[in-house]
Amino acid sequence: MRKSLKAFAVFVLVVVCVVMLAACDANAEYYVLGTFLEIKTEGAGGAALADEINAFMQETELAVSTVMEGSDIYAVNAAPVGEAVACRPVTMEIVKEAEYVYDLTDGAYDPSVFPLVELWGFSPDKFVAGAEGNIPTDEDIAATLEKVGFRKCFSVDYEKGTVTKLVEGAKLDLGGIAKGYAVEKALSEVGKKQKALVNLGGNIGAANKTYRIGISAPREYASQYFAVVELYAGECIATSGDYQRCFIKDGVRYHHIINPFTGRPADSGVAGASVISSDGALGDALATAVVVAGTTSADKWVSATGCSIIAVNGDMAVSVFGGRTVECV
Amino acid sequence: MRKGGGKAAEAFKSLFKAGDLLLLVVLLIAVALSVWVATRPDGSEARVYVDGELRCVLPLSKDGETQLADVGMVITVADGKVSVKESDCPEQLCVHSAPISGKGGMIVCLPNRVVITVGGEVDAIT
Repeated sequence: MRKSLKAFAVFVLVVVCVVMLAACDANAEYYVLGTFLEIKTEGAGGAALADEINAFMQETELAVSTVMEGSDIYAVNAAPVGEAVACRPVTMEIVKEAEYVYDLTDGAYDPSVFPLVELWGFSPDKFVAGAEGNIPTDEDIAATLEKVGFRKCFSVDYEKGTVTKLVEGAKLDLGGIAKGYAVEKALSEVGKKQKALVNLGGNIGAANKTYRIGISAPREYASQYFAVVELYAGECIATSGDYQRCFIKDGVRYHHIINPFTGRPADSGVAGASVISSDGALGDALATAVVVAGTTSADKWVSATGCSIIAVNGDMAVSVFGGRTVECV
Repeated sequence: MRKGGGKAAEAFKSLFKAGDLLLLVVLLIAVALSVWVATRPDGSEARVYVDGELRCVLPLSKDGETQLADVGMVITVADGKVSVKESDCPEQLCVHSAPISGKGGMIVCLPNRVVITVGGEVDAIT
């Protein structure tokens, strides 16, 4: 009797141990903001936390999507010139961040570049990887450039919470900053609760733990990533590159990161740029700016914001700004 | 509540001697470790998820093709790397994604909601 009681007690303890272990780590997946969201958590309550983060991101998408009727950005883009469109606080917050990075980078990151992205056929609804791309005429590029330029094309009233379009055909797109913003907010949601990694389509945030992050190789390589960095608790990393949406014609690479000054795909020499910062929105937008403008101003941006920048060119030569240790693999 | 807890502790003490307890701790650690090792994704295999559900596990050491008929996708394992050979999605970004080696990585097909992962030496890829 005593022996069987003992065996039963051991069995119960083992089962409890296995169940607790299985319940501790959670890996949740969602589709939001036009991409894939992965949340890895350690500790109890991870699944509920992941659902909360996803719900917040779905709300953000409803506010800033360019294609969802009812979103603020959809309304701004559809409104006639001169009509002030009232936007949700979250939209205004992201617009404010976008304007900050636009000014910091002297317009290299421009949230109004979307008409050019559409002209080149790189908008998500049009682009087909591997298909032969079309190069627009100089006339078409010049005409579209008239509709690009954040200051020229939009006016923002932060007190009233409105955005007004000033040029017919201009379009606002926060896709290059909203994901970084959402990841940073997700980290605030996690707080000190548990160890978590939030990965929204390559915009990654670390909460309460250091994670090892691989940086995508912009050209063919032995592995998907060419370098590894440690992402410390509270930090976000974002990467932009000329290799995600692109086509090659007559040996020339044409890609989706359009230089808002020339109207053509950026040719700064930077093939991929990653930015590490506690400000996720900043990192997301700045990564694009580095691909557009190159690394000439990288030191200035690092000292202004405290971020770190890792840039790689088409020959896989790496430049690091901000003193971050990068382990090349 | 405290009284009940005290009773349980007493029963526990009367059931297990000091030597038993040591053995029990070792057993629990061994069970925990084996569960962790068994469930931890490593660089030897690719896990294919469709809409969040684990559909198949492909060893990277075994070359071959796997067809996911319902989502119109063909996944290839060759020379220790996994890639998407065909997909009926409109974007074709998955087909043109870099193959994943044993060092780890991820290929996502958003329209088909397919995720292929190899757990390797990194926690995520940016």
